[in-house]
Formats: sequence, C-alpha cells, structure tokens
Amino acid sequence: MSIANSTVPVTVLTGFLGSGKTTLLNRILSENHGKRIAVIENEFGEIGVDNDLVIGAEEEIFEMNNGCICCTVRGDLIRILGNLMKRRDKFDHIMIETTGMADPGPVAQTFFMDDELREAMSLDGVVTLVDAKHVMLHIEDSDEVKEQIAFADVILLNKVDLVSSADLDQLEARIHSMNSAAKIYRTRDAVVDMDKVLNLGGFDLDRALEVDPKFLEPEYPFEWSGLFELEAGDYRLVLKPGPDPAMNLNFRSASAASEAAMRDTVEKAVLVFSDDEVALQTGAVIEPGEQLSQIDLEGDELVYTLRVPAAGSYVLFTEHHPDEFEAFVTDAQGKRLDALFTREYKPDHEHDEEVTSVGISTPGDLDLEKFQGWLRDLLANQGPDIFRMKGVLSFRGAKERYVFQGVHMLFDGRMDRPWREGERANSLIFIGRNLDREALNAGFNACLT
Amino acid sequence: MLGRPKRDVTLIRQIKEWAYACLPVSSEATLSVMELECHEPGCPPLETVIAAMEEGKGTRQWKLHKPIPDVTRADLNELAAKEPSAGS
Repeated sequence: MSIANSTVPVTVLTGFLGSGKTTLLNRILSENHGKRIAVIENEFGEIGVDNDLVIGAEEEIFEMNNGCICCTVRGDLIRILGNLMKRRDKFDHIMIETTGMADPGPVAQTFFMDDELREAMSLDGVVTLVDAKHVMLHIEDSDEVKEQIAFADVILLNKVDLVSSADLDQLEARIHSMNSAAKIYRTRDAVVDMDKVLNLGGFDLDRALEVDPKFLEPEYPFEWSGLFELEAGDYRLVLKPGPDPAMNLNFRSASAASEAAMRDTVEKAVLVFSDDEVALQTGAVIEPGEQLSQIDLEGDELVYTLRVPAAGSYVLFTEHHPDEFEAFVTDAQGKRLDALFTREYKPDHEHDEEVTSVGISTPGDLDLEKFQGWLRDLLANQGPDIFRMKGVLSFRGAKERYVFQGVHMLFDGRMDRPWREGERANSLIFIGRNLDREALNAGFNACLT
Repeated sequence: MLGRPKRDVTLIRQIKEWAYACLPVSSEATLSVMELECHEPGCPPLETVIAAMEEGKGTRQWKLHKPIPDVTRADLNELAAKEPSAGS
C-alpha cells in the first residue's frame, strides 16, 4: 500500500474575511509559477479572475454519524471534487478557500474519509491567513480563531505593517504555543514565496521534528516582569493585601535596558522559580540574584526593600500580576518609578482549556499492536479534541520510517524512506484542546518495546 | 498498517454501481461510499455508509453494518426498502 505520487495535492486556505485570502488567491492565480490551479471557493463572486476553474461551493456539512464531529465531511466538496476529477488533465493543484467561520475539520476530513478521493488527491496542507491586528483582539476568546490556528500547517501572519514588532513577537509566541508544528511567516499584502504555501507535502513531517522543545511548554511560573533602570541604592516595593497571602518573586540584573535583554532573563527566572523559596516578612531586603523570595502579603502596610548594588538594568519577576496588589516601586524618597518595559505571561493554569501542542520525541522502537491499541483508545475518547496530529515513528522490525498525519479521529500513514544511521527515533505532535501532556507521554512510552 | 484500511477503489465503484441501480437516486447524484469505525458498544467495528448528494435533495445516507469488502448487491436491494436518513 503506497500513496502514489500521481495524487493531486490539495491546499485548504482558511482565514477570516479581510485577512488577505483574496489577495493571496489572486497572487497564486496570477503569478507565473508554472502550476495550473483549480480553485474552489466559498465566497463566490468576490474574486475577479479569468479562470475556468473557479468554482463556487455552498457549505454543506454532512454528519455520517450523528453528533460525531470526527465523522463530519463536506458533501458539497465531495460532489465538486468528483466532478473536477473528470477534468483531471486541466490542472495540477487544487485550492479550496473556506470562509472564516467555516470549521476546517470537515474540509480536511473529507480527504481522509472518502477512499476514492483518497486515491485521487491528498491534503497537501492547511494554510491559515491571520490579520495580525485583528487576531490580537480575538485570539483569546474566539473558538474559530483558535481552531483555524490549530489546523494550520502554515500560518501567514498578514498585515504586519499595522502592528508593532513587540506585539508581533508576543503574538507569534502565543500562536506557536497553540500550534508549534506550523510554520509562521510574517507577510504584508500576503506576499510570500509560492513554495511556502504550495506543495508542502503533507507527509514531509521534518518540520514537526524541528519543534523547539522550549516552545512546547510556554507556561510560566510568573505572570509579570518589568525592567527598571536603577542607580545604586535602596528602592521600595510597596504592596497592598490582595487575593493571595504570599507571592514569589525574583529580582535580577539584565544586560541592557531593552526588551530583548529582559527576554534573555526569562529562562533563568523560570529556573529560579523552580527552586525553594526564601520566606520574607514585610521590611525585608531583597537583593538581585538567584534567590526566589516569597514575600508575605498579610498586613496593612507591606513594604520590601530592593537593594541595588550598582547602577544598571534590573528585572522584577512576580508570581502574580502587580495590579492584584496595587504594587509599585519607589526610590528612597518615595518617588514612584515606572518600569521601562513590562511583559505579562499567561500562567499555566489558564491554559487547561486551551488549544496547545504536545510534542513527543523519544528514541526506541514501538510495538505495533500496543501502539495501535493506545491510539485507537485515545482517538475514540479524545478525537473531537485532537485537531491535528503528525508523526514519524519507528516500529520494531521495520527498516523504514512510518509517517502519518491525521485530523480528529482519522489519519493516513505510510512507510517512508529507510532510516539513516543514528536517526531512529519517534517524533509526534498532537495539536488540540484539553491535552494532557503527562498522560500522552506516559501512554506513548508504554508502547515502546 | 495503522487505522482504517484503505479499500480497493474497484470495490467502492462496484458498490456505487449497485447503489445507482437499487437505491432511489438519480444518475445525476454524486455518491460517496465510506467506511466508518464505530466506537459504540455492541456495534460492529466497521460500517459502510453510502451517501447520495443531489442538488435540491440535500445529502441522504444509508448504512450497512459491515465493512466494504463484505457488501453485496443483495444488501443494496434490502437497503432500497429502507428510508434513508438525512446526513446533515
């Protein structure tokens, strides 16, 4: 069983109205890239291209099993694609444009469910266009935005000229925390090399292997940091009682008065926050360094001294947001000092219901039967919450890599090229909601022989 | 190797041919034959779903509680007596 190279690659293009889909589509259709592309679009009539193969589709969701989103496909697409394949000689690539409100799941599932389509075409990739300015307002509260990000293989962060570079960094980190396997490109007017969006090769999962493990866990033990430029001397950290009886903090020096310098201290601060804390009462002195201070927050007047040994830049990391305690820093004379730069961090507990990625990277060989059983149970129970999964696996006794990708409960895989010397390892990634990192790792590891 | 087996397309084409002949669908309808893994207790592990998509009639579907290779023309004849369910 192999996936023939003669299958027509299909790209699903998704994104909200105004994100730049039409601009990108126009570019794809007019640029001289040597490919003939058939376009199926939801928002028919918006695009003014002279092309015989632009076809309008009406979203027709079709549940094959009552209420199970994993068995939901797009009837309109099956019909259109069936007709399109009668004109197979007219195009090399199919592009399906969906509206911002359309769920990418049923679109992608259509290519895993219908065996005749599976033989003729293959999902090359899901490309999601994001309006950088718009998405910042909606990323935390819109399920549609989250799902479009979660389903993507490529994310074009468009209209970057309307957003500051600091905001873009933050946005990109947030998107990466949700879907760490997607490639993110920053674009203006949707200008991007065509080879970044076409012919991604759904099975070329090397990019899933490139995931930086640090990015897989963007959960911080603190909620806020601020960088201050301070002369040598004593400063006061003034707080009021708040929702918590105590709070951990770390005060440390930074190399320069810049956001980048503050960012450079984050990793070390994370390490400090995993140490044992030193309990301090009001009036105590806090010096910069590797100490995790736990300041008491009970009492009316809460003042701690920040002792600065030499002029320079210093960063204060706090477990809770300072606003919760009406906290501020003053100089010795009581003059209030503002931080030059601040950053808020999403604490891990707020991510429980969130869209995240869980990557598993483990050497060793898998037992096929055990793995099948584990995956079957996992998808039966959590299929609706798992949007995408991709992996390269090493099975005991197999000379080749097994590569697979899936959408919800459906997936497709095949034996790929032989393993190279010293390369054998398992690497897979789940992107979804309510993912239990520890349980996934434990379940996977139990399948190793 | 993993997951739902990929079925020989000739089997699917055969079932479609029987479906056009036996079920109340016009020759204009697009048919899709898919195999589903059913996780409901007591159900056979694989069932075959035949969906007909026709302009103006929406999607109608019929189910057979057996995998694609086991489907026969007699099954389609039996299905013809049953009401399809709406797929959407």
